[in-house]
Amino acid sequence: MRKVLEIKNLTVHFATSDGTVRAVNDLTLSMEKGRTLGVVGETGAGKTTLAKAVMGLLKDRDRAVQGGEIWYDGRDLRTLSDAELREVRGKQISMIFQDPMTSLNPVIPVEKQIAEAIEAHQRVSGEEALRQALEMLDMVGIPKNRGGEYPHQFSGGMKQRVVIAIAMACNPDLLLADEPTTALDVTIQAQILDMIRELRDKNGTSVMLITHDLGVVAQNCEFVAIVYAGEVVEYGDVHQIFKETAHPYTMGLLASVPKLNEQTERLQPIEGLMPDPTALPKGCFFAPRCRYATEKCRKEHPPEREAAPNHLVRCFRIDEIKKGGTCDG
Amino acid sequence: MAEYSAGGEQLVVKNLKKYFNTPGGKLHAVDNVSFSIRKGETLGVVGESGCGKSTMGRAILRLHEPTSGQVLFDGVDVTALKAAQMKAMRTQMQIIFQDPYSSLNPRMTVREAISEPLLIHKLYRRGQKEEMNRRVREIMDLVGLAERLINTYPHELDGGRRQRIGIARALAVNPKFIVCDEPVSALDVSIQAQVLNLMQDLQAQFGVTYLFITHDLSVVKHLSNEIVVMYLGEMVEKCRAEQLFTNPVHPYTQALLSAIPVPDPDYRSQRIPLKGELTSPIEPGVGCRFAKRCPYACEECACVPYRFVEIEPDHFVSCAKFAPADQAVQR
Repeated sequence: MRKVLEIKNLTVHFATSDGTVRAVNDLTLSMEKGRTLGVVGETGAGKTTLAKAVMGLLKDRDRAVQGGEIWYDGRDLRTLSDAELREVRGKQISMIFQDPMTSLNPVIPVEKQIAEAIEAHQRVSGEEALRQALEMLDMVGIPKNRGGEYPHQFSGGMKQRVVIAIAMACNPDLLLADEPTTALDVTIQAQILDMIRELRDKNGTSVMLITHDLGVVAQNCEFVAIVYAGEVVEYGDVHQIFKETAHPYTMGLLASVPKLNEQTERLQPIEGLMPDPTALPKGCFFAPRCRYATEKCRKEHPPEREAAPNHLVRCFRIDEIKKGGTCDG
Repeated sequence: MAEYSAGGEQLVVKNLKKYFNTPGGKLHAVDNVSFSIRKGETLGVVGESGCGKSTMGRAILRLHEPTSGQVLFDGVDVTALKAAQMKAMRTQMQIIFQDPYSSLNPRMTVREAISEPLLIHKLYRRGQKEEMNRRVREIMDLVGLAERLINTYPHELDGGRRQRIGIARALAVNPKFIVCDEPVSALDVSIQAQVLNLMQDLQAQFGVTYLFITHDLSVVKHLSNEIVVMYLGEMVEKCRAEQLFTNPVHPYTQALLSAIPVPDPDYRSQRIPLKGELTSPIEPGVGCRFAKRCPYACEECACVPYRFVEIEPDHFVSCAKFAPADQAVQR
């Protein structure tokens, strides 16, 4: 399968008055063409920073210090000029933000906002852009005659459809969806996710679906990357992640959610908290919360290892854990 | 009202209504809701945003004054109490709010936040610093807040710890009943599990009765004895927790259940797609409020008045098609 995006050793640090926030740490990840990659992590894991780095949205004013490579279409996006990036952004790579309430302009009718994206990237007349904008509205399930309305006249689910229409307007090759349904109700969430999948299958778009919801991932993604403290701790196809779970953090996440299809008397939370990104532990970032951690885990940082072909795990103890061993350190 | 306390019912809600005046007419936020919760049990209330579940929780505590209806707490009609009596009643009935970021005063330390209810309800006087501090520490220990955090401010703490302060404030006055309004929605899953376990432990330890409001069906299934599903201010289905998942009857409940993404890639639910979005709760008129989105709706659904029918023991449904009155179990 062709890789559409290859992120190599991406590092993003922010200089703040409280010290250096290590948001993304030496992160390597690639995406298969036409498939959906789920990027899962809790608040502060660096998911959004990762997406922003890919989009080139981290600016000097954010005091972001970046390193690594982001290969897309034969070019390293990190070496492109602002003008070149603008060509890529919105046309080849687009992004859907989490909150549809704040990502639309409240004083411009929605059809104009979609047309704006089309005019920015295609040489078409204003009339043609508007016609295409209405086509897009129709495609995301909003009647064309509502195009002249303003965002406040739409419900949350419909606003998110408008945002998706804008993102898909130029038929992008790669779509970064940052928690696209977190602000929505489950029945609306199901509609939006179905729609993203249909658009993907129709246009051959590759999707990066950033979410904290393991259910959304299991039902919508072919590949999954579990992110913890700014690095990928486990990567594999959706079956490997859910059925052959190898990293203790992923196991912990799965054990913390109440399941609809089985009865659990008591949830098993992961004790403790995510480490402070200004003071990450020296060894494995997860070691302080890990029930399998040994002295080695606390001293050395584990490299990525293959638990199975294409199933990458950042843990020293995968073999012992697989055999059902617990803490011996 | 002795029958209720004798039957072990902590809270009985009868025909509770809360309407708001809007320029377009009356907004029916809560319409004719009736249920009861037994002592030490949990009633889960689920529904999507705007279905009136939070308004209902607040109307029970009279944080919103109910438009009509009764709320009986230990047999006492809360809606008829005078202000001073109501204040005393609040030591029995407490609430935990959804958002631990906005429900705490940013200028109060943990100590001040937890002592506030103790002072308001005059359980301690300002002079009794020592005794009160002891009580604050005791409560902090109960909810799993380390003692060293006693002088910290909310902004210094993460969401999970802040929500523990919210729980501590509610518990401080030893209530018998707590309305939990989406207490874990703002938290990450690993932290959510910690808080849910804490709430279960507290219930086991003190026999507190919970009204647990949430949009998350997996959470509600995990915690509740009984579940109410709400849609546009009305109850559409009410039954024991396991019944709702093994035998959901109302088309809205079925659709809601089928829309939940299950964290198992092999599990594929038969999705029941819903057309459109929530209709307006302003002057909704007669007829089924779900009819416009319902895959099974027929013409008469728009004119059949609301009826909540018991179709099997403890299982109530408000659907004219799936629970016709003649099939109902008569009691």
